[in-house]
Amino acid sequence: MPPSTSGPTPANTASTGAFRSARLPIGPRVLGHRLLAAAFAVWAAVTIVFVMITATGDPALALAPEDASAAQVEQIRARYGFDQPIPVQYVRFVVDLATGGFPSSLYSRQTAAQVVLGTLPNTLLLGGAGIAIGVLLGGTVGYLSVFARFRVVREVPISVLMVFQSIPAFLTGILLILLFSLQLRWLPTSGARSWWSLILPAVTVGLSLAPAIARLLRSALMEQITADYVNTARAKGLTRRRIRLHHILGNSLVPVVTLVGLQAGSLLSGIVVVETVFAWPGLGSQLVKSVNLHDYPVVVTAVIVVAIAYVLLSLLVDLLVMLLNPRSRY
Amino acid sequence: MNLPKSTMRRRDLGKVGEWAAIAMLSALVIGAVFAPFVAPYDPLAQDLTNIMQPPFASMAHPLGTDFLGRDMLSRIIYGAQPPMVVGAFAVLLALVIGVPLGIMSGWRGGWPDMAIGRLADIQMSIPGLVLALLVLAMLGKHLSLVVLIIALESWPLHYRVVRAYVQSVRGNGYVEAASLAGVGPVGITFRHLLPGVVPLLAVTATANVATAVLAEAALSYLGMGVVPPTADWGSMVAEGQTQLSGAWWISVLPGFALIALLLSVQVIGNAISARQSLGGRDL
Repeated sequence: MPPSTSGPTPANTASTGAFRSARLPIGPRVLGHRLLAAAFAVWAAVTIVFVMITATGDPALALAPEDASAAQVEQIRARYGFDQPIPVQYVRFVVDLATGGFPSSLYSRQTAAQVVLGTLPNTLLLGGAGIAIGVLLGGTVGYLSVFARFRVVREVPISVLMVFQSIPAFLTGILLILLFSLQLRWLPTSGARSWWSLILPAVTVGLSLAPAIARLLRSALMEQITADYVNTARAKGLTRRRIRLHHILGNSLVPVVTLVGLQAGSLLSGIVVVETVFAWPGLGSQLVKSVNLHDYPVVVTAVIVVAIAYVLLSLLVDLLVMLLNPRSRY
Repeated sequence: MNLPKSTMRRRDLGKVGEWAAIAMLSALVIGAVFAPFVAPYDPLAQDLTNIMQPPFASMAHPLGTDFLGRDMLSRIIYGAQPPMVVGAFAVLLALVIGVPLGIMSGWRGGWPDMAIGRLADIQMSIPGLVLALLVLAMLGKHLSLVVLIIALESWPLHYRVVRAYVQSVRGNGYVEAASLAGVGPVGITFRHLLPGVVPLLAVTATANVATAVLAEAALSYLGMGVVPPTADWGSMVAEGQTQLSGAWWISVLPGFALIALLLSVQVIGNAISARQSLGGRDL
C-alpha cells in the first residue's frame, strides 16, 4: 500500500456527524466568547481612562499651562467639553474615540488619531522584531540548559541571561549604544533612517523578554522529561532528537506562550521606554513627548491605542494556547 | 536524564553569592541612609572648573564629575534615596492593601471574594507604565503619586498569595480549635493566620521591591518621576545619555549602581524562596 492513502479516510470523518465542524480548530462559540470578552475589555479600558480623567477634579486646570489666565482655562474647558454634565462628557468621549473625531493635537495640524496611528507601524515593527528575538533567544537558551551535551553549554548561557533579568531595559539600551554605536561604530545610535536602526532597539526588547522565557521553558522541560509518554516514545524506538523536539518541547510550549501573554503589559511598557532610549519614532516615544507637552488629545488617544493593543495581544495568545493545547478549547 | 547534580561545593558557592548580595544591599542602604555623612561632597554643588573628570583619575573625585562638575560618587550615594524610598513605601502600601483583602477573601469567600478577585485581575492586566504616564500627565510629577501608582499596580501579588494560604488552612484543626475556644476573628488573624503568612510575604515583598525600584527608575528615566537637579539614578542615566560619547561614566555609573541594587535583591529573593521550598518558581 502506498503511504499516501494512509491516514483518516473521508468516510471516517463523515460518520461522526454532519454538523461537527472538522475544519475550524477552535469552536465558533468559544471564539465568539473570546471576541466578546475582548470587546468588553476595550470598553473597560476606555471607561477607566475616562474615570481617571474626571477624577482629577478639574481636568482643564491640569491641562492648562501654569501661567494660564482664567479666560484661557475657560477656553480649554469649553474646547474639550469639560463644562458639560459628566454623562454627556462620557458619551462624547466614547463617540469621539470611536469616530476618530477627537480634537486635533495642540502641536500638529493633524488630528490626534492621525498622529497616533501614524506612529503605529514603527511600533508594530519594533514589537514584532523584539518578540521574535526574545522568543528565539530565550527558547534556545532554555532548551540548551536542559538538553545540551556539555555542562558548560547547559549552565553558562542561562546564568548570563538571568543577569539581564536585573538590568532595566533602558540600561541595556544605553550599554548597547555605548558598545556597538560609539565604540565599534557598527550601528546608528538612534532614529529610524535605515533597517540598521532597528537592530539595537529590537535586541533590547528581546533581551528584556528572553530571561523569563528561558527560565520558564527550562522548568517546563524539566517537568516533562520524566513523564510516562517519554518512556513510551523511547520504548517505541524513536530517536532522541524526535522525542525532544516533537514530544517534550511540544508539550512545554503552552506555559511559555501563556507567560508571553501575561508579560504583554510589561512588554508594552518596555517598548515605550526602549523607543525613548533610541528616539525610535513610534507610539511610545510619541506618548512620552506628548505627556511632557501636556498634549491631552494625543496622550488619551495613545493610551487607548496601547490598551487595545494589549487586549489584542492577550487575545492572540489565548487563541495560540488553544491551538497548542486542545484541552483548553472548550 | 540530565538532572542537576547538587554537590557540597556548589551549595557553598551559592552561599557565597547570597552573602555577597546581602553585603552589597547593606552597603547601598547604609550609604543612602547616612548619605550626608558618607558622601564627600554636596550632590548639587557645581564646580565648573572641573567638569567631566573621568573616574579613577584623581583622589579628589574617585568616580569623576559630571557636565556641571558635580561629584559623581556623592550623586550616586544620594541618588539611591528616591528609588529606595519609593520601593519601600510602595511595597508597604501594597502589603497594607493586599494582605487584609487576602485574609478576608480567603476566610469569607462568597461575593466579596469574587469582586476583589475580578478587581485584582483587571489591575494586573493594565500596562502599568502607560497608566502611570497618564496619571502623572494629569496630576503633575509628585513622588507620592509614583508610590501610589506602583502600590496600586502590585497589591494583587500579595493578595493572591495570602488568599490561597488562608483558604488552605481555614479548615485545619488549629484554626477550628481556636474558633471553638472563642477566639475572635481578630485574634485568629493575628495569632494563627499571620505567622504562617509572613514567610510567604517575605518572598512576594522582595520580588515586589525589585519591580518597584525598576518602575521608579524607568519613570525617572522618562523624566516623569524625580526631576533634575535632584540626584536620582534613573534621571542621572537620562541626563548622561546626551554625553555618552564624551563622558560615558555620567550615565553608566548610576546605571551600574541600579543593577547592583536589583541584582542583590534578586539573589536574596531567590534564596528566600528556595528556603521556603517554593523552589524559585514563578508566582
